[in-house]
Amino acid sequence: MKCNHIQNKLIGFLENSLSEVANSEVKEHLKSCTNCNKELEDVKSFLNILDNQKTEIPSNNLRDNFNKMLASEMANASPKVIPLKPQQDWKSYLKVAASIVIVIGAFLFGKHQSNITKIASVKNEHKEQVLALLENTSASKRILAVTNAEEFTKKDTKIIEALINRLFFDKNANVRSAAAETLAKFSSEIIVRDALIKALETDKNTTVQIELIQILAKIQEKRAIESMKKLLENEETPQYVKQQVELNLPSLL
Amino acid sequence: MKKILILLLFVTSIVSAQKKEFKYSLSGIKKIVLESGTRIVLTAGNTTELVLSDNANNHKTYERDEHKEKLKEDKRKGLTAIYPGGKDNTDGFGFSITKEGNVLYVTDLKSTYQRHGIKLVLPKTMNISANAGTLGSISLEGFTGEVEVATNVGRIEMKNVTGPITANTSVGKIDIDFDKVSQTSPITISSSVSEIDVALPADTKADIELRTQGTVYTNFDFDIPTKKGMPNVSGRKTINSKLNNGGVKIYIKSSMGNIYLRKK
Amino acid sequence: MKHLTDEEIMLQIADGQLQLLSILFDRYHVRIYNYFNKMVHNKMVSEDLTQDVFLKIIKYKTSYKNGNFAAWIYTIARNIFSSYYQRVKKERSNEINDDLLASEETTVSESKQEELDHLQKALLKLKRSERELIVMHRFQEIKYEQIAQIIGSSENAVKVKTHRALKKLKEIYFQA
Repeated sequence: MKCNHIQNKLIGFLENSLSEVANSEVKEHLKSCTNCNKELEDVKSFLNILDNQKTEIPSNNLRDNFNKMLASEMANASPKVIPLKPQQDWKSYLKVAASIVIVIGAFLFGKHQSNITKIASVKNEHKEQVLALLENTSASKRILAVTNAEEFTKKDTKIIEALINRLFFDKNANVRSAAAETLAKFSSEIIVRDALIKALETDKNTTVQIELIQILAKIQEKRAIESMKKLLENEETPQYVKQQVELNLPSLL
Repeated sequence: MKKILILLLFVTSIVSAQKKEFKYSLSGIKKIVLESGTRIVLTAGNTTELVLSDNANNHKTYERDEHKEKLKEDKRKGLTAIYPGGKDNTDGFGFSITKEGNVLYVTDLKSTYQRHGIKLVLPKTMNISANAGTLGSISLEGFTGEVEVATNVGRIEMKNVTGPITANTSVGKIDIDFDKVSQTSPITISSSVSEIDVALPADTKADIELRTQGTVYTNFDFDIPTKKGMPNVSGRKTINSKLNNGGVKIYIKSSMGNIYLRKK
Repeated sequence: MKHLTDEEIMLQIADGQLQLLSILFDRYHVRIYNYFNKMVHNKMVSEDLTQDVFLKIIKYKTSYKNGNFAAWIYTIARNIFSSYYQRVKKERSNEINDDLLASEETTVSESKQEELDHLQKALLKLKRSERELIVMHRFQEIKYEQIAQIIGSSENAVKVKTHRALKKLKEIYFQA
């Protein structure tokens, strides 16, 4: 009877989640009862089995499908990115009004050609729009956003992070090149320099590689020497990429 | 019924080497994302459907292999082809077609070596994104929607397009002939080594940026501001100019190839 | 952006910054996937259900009110699992007679029995609610307090139920 009562508490005992009284009660009992000690070992080994269950990694489909889903949700949502937060003062109302103007502007974007420059200048104050445009499904629009991002300062970490994200993950090589080019303007930031070096090591597209080689030489990033040498040594690197390295490497040495 | 008809058409066509087609309705679709490693030909048509066909222009080899094909066909009877990249839902054409919202993904399941080119007819206004893999090439004509293309060694050829265009190749040649230039969003054309040949209507409004270590040839009047300072280490040269007082941004970049910019 | 808490990010998503959802996806998708996979033991279904969770987050983003994000996402996951479970049950009861189903409180036939290892088999013999507690507490390492919040119960009740479920599982495991 007593044993049964104790055995019900063993899991809690092992988890350290018993009250102090119950805890010492179990401890005391275990000192003298071989039966319960055996049970304790059983429970322990069983919990061990449970805890050794490995976490399964889902297939890549999950991420792919998620990205597609997110892209299409964002495309659907884009005509109404007006902030829904309660507004506190007249300034916020102005902001809403301004963002409505922008949203309408963005909406007419496709139809009215001359609006482009106007929107670009208003965008300066509204990086959210640029951030959203950076995720647009159209490559051309993303390039537009990447180029517009030049107007921000290096303090806009959100913009810089979004650009780095484009540099690494955009499916379109032209977008990645454009992102590298814009990032070069923020090359005083160490994360930007790191990202450019990293991208040179990982990007497989030769146009992007060449762009990066030229940028890294231009910003005099000596830490890129290693990666450039690696490109030279790699048999799979096309001749014309090696040529670019040979052309630019001396300026770093 | 239609499907059976198409299937019949397909089966008989193997024997008679006739053109075979697969159709897919595009209602609600705004963009097509195509992936195939072969010679891709896209034509704008007066259609609301996607019309897919093989584009092997080498009919002779087909006729010679007719007997072999027939034997193969007998072997296949009652069996279905399966592919690692997904499920064929194009009546044996070897493509997987999936719809996600207003985007249609058309993915070639067969390897480059089994294809001798494909041809797609699509509505004129469709937005297109095509990737020709390592060996494929892309040729398209007559589209007014947005076009994104990427090849590695294959050539990119476009006629009667308006943009926005986003094109990239490593080694392939690029030829693009614009009917007019859409002012919607930027046009970007880039290549690592090959030459790029672009023809624009004379009255095109654009901000042009040309960059190459090769030479630029044009019959547009370029007003090139002379720049001083900054030695050009990499030998890369950028030319910026406005056409007809400026407009949409057009980037043309080739690392080493020449750029030909023609006025029509 | 990476240093923001789940809650801060979710508030921005609720505010329309949908692209930030990919950060939360990075942080949670493996956990949520494993929750489903332990519950139904079917990879395809688990991936679909995980995808559903993130879709629901977008759909219901404005109903997020600053609470603990983990609790919120698990609440969504549970609801999705619940409706999936009801659907499967209904579909199956259309085929098989109901009595048989009532005695079988699991979704075992969703998966191929022979592929399951011993523990998985034992897990699937538990009641849904028991299995869930074990999955959340032992596999997902969610604290009792938080589980209580997710399933709407008290911390103590959750603790007792979990211990009971573990004990039952252990018996099934060693018996079979």
